[in-house]
This record gives sequence, structure tokens and C-alpha cells, in this order.
Amino acid sequence: MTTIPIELDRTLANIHTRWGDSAIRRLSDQDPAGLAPMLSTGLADLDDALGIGGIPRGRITEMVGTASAGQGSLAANLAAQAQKRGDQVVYVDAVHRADLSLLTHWGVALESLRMLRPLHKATALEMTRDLVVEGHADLILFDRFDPTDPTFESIDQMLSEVTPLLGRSSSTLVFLTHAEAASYPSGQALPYFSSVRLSCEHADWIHGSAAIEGIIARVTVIKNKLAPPHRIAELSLRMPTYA
Amino acid sequence: MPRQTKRRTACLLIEGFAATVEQVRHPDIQGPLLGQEHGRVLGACSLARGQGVREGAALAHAQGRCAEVTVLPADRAHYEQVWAQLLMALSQHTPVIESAAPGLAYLNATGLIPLYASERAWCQALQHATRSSVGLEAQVGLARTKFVAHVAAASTGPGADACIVQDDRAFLAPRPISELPLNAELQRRCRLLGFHTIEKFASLPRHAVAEQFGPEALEAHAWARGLDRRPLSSRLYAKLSRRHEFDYPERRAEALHAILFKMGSDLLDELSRRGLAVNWVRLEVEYESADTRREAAWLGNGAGSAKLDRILCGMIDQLTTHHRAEPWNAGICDVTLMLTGLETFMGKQLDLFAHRADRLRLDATLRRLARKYSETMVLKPCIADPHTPILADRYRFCELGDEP
Repeated sequence: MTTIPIELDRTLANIHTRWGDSAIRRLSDQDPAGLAPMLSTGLADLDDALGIGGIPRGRITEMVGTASAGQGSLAANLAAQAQKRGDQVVYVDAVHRADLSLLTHWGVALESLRMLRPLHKATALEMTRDLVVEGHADLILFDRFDPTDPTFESIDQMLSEVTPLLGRSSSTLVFLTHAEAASYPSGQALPYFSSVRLSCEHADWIHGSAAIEGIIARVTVIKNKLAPPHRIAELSLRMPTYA
Repeated sequence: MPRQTKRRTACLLIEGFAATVEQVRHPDIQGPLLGQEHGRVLGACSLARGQGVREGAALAHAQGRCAEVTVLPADRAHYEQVWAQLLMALSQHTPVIESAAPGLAYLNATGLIPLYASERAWCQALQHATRSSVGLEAQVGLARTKFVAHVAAASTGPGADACIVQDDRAFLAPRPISELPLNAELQRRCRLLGFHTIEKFASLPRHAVAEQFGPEALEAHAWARGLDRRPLSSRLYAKLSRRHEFDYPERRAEALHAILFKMGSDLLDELSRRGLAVNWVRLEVEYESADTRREAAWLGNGAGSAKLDRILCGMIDQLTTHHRAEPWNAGICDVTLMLTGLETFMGKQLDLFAHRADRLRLDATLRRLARKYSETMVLKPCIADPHTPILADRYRFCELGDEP
């Protein structure tokens, strides 16, 4: 009975010697950074809907929605929560639309935030891939991917390269996608590679005494590899004011 | 229609917290009392405050105002311990508590009132929890927003009935303008312009406030109108416990050491994985005589395994003292260890960890990307002018290479 584990250990040692430390891992091994396996979104209802208390680390998450659906606020919340845990956050602003006042409104510490603003969208994908390869960013927010835009056609290759790398590191890649979940073009790689997909919809406005104060965003978990999907969270997102 | 829950926020205030805690610790001191640190007043009791002693004032100035005052050196560790104990007691009544400072906490009451008979009953429960846990009398105010709740709490006396406000703006209207968070110069200008009450100030158009008093007065103006949008930010906490049942009554201190250190180490690892810092330790043992004994200790901030081990050693010493007093039934049947973890505080816009190795590695990576692609593509957002009223002008992008 005791010889089998010894033989197995010897075989594993041989594999490690020949192919390197990352060639084989036990599922019970903790991730090297010792981090929790998920990253809280900072919104309790959404964390509950995700089933594991947040979005999974070391995987790809996609947030799908059109304008004013609350994706920017969700991403900002996520960045703020990651920074609170001491994570390094990089914001890839592919469409040059990052709203710094929105980010600060949701608690993002600008001093700690790093931002990539490539001139071309294809370059944004290349830079993101390089960032994942280097592996020093804990959360990478890609704002914003458009599945109908031909300049993003190299995303298939990029995702196939970065997905195994993400699995070995603690980096988390979040794509903000400009599309409607119902009319998402078929044959795209991103939905396939994503572990979690969230559909954001504008459900209602929050009416203040004098003006609109924010939106009610309805977030549906349309894909979840780690917990049951198709759960819905309704989030009240109040926008910054000129105070 | 979206859900519209009526927002309710409570403020729990203990004025002159340091001095009040000292009064409980030294009940023999009858007259006015203050706690001092580095020649400044850290906290003054109500008697001293009544004679014009203010927190932050020079000690000599305070003694000039109140000659018979008793001055005690401040014991910050003790004040923090009392405050943490109080927050733990309050957490039985609401899940969201924002600790603004020792002696000042905001509590979320939204949706909780149906669990109690009324809003007043909930406020009384808070006051009772304060009295029973740390022996202090608290002032409680309940309103829609944080600012009004604070003003309401400050308008009552220690231990007096809570001030419950239903209409924030109407409550603020007759109150003096000095209760708004305006600096001395703006207060003076308000008085010169004849604005003596908050109602007068609130009735000004927003653009007029910006022109006359500058953008820094806009927040106070919004608060005067009952529009305080600051959310409650509480700290996450978790209570974890482990129980061990001995096969036979255990009398050996070394066996107790071994099992407690193992349990403590497991719990500490679990809290660390959740990103929480251990804050409280509670130990409960059950003797063969069916007696139970409880020990508790506060670990302060930044406690690690070494400090936890020291605390556990101290607790075991206490238990062995009990052994010696009653040797005939001192065998321990089971032991329960509970650790309470609190989310660590991080600076909001103050980056204290810029020297961290992972930050430096990330910046090195980004500089390589900048060299590969373009310097202008790798940016760092920063604050340009925090006082400009146009939000978009408050921030700018700078290249990462700009940093020294």
C-alpha cells in the first residue's frame, strides 16, 4: 500500500525535473500568492449572485452591456475593492473614455492606479497580453471590447495565449464589452474563454428631489463556471455630483 | 418601480471620549478631568467642557480656564480597546457600523426598525448596549443622513433620550450656522451677510454659494439642504472559532498549550486568507465540574502569530492559577477558541505602500511596455486641482516616466 505513493512521488519528481515546476500541480496546492480565490465586487447583492462571493481570480470575466448600463461603475467598484486588498490594478483604456471622477467616486485610489492608453485597439490587446505574460498586475480591466469591431480580430489568439498564464498566476482579466447580451455576435472567442459573464442592463433611473441621481442596474450572471448561473442582482448605482 | 427604502442613519456620540473613559476607570475623581498628550488636551469631561476647555487646546490654556481640573496622561491603547469593545457590542444591533473616530460612530438603521418595537426602542437598545458593555453613556441621533444624525446626537445630553428626526431639512432650519462645517472665515462672512440660521444659508441658490463662498462651501450647502450623500463605510469582520473536546479531563498545561497554539494558528491562517487582521481573542474552557471559565483579550492593530501566542500564554497562566486554587476538579473537558478579525484600514487617497515590491515590479513591467510601444501610452492618473468645481478638471494624466 505504501509503495504506490512513493512511486507516484518519484514520477512527479521526474516530471518536475524534466519539464519544470509549473508542469504539474496538485489541485490542493494553494496559489503562490496565498490570495483568496475570488475578488469581491464591493456590491453584496452581486457577490451573492456570483455564488462564490465575487469574480474568480486567475480567470477571465466579461461584463456585457450597452452605454449607461452600469459597467463602468461595476468596474470601478471592482478596482476599489482590489486596491483595498493591496492588489495592483491596471486599467487598459482602449477607447480613451476612462472617467476619473467616476473612478474616484467609487473609491479608486488614483495614486495606485496604472493606466494604458494605446493609440490603436489592436495595440491594446498586445499590451494586455504582455502585461499578463509579465504577471505583476493582479487585476487588469480592459475597457472596452467591441465584438463587431474588426480591429479586435486578434483577440482569439491573445486569449488562447493568456488563459493558461492567468491560471498559473493570480492575475484577473476583466473585459468590459460594448454589446447587448441578446444580440451578441456568434463565433466569438471571448464568451468561450470567459469563466464568468455578466450582462448589465439599465433597469430604471434613481430619481432625486431635483434631478436623476443614478441608475438601477440589473446584472444577470449569464455564464458561471464556478457556481450556478442565471442569478440576477439589482444594484442602485448613484452617480457623482458636482458637490 | 425600483425599491425605495427609507434611508435611516444613526449617530452614536460620546463627547470627550478619552476623559469619559478615564472617569469610568477612576471613579474616585469627582471634579473636572481631562486627558492630555504632548501638552495638548485629548479629551475633556463635560464639566471641563462647560468651563470652556476644548479638545486640541494647549494644556496651559485649559488649566487657565479650569484651575481645579485633574490632568491624566492619555492612554490611547486603552481608549482603542474600549472603543473596539463598544463597536463589537453595537454590532449586535446593526451589521453596518462606521467608526469615524473613538467616540463617534455612524450606524445603518435602514430596514432594521421592524425588528424592534419602534425607532426609539432601537436607539434605546444602542444606549443600553453602550452602558452594559463599557459603562459609558452615549448620545444618539437618528435621521436620514449622517450630518443631520450627528447634529441630532450632539443636541442631546449623555444618556438622554435619543433625538429622532423625520424631516432633515426642517430639523436643520432653525439651528445656528455655526453647526455647519464651515471654516472660521466663511462663518464670519455668513454673519456679515446676515445668515445666522442654516435655513437662510440653505435658501441661497447653489451658484450664489459657489461665487460668494467658493467651491469648498458647496458641500456644506448641500448638507444644509439635507442632501448628505456620504455613504456609510463599515469594516468587514468575521468571527471564527474552533472547539476541541478532550478524551479525558486534561490537567497538563503543556497539552493545553499545544492544542491552543494549533487552533490559534489555524484560525489566524483562515483570517489572513480573508484579508482580515485578528482583533479579539476569546477563550472558553469547560471543567469536569461543569464550570466554565472565559478569558478575552484585545490584540490591538497589526497583531501577528507571535502576539497571539503571547496572549494565549497569558490566558493559560490564568487557567493554571485556577488549577492551583481548585486542584480537585481542575481537569478541562473541552476548550473553545474564538478569534474576531477586522478588515484592515487602508488610506483612501494616501498611498502608503508605494514602496511595495509588487508595485515596483509592476511599474518596471509598465516601463518596459512604454519603451516597447510608446511613452505616451502608459499613464498614471493624478489629481490636478482638487478645488475646482468642474469634476473633469480635477484630474489629469501624466506619463509613468514623470515619476522620480
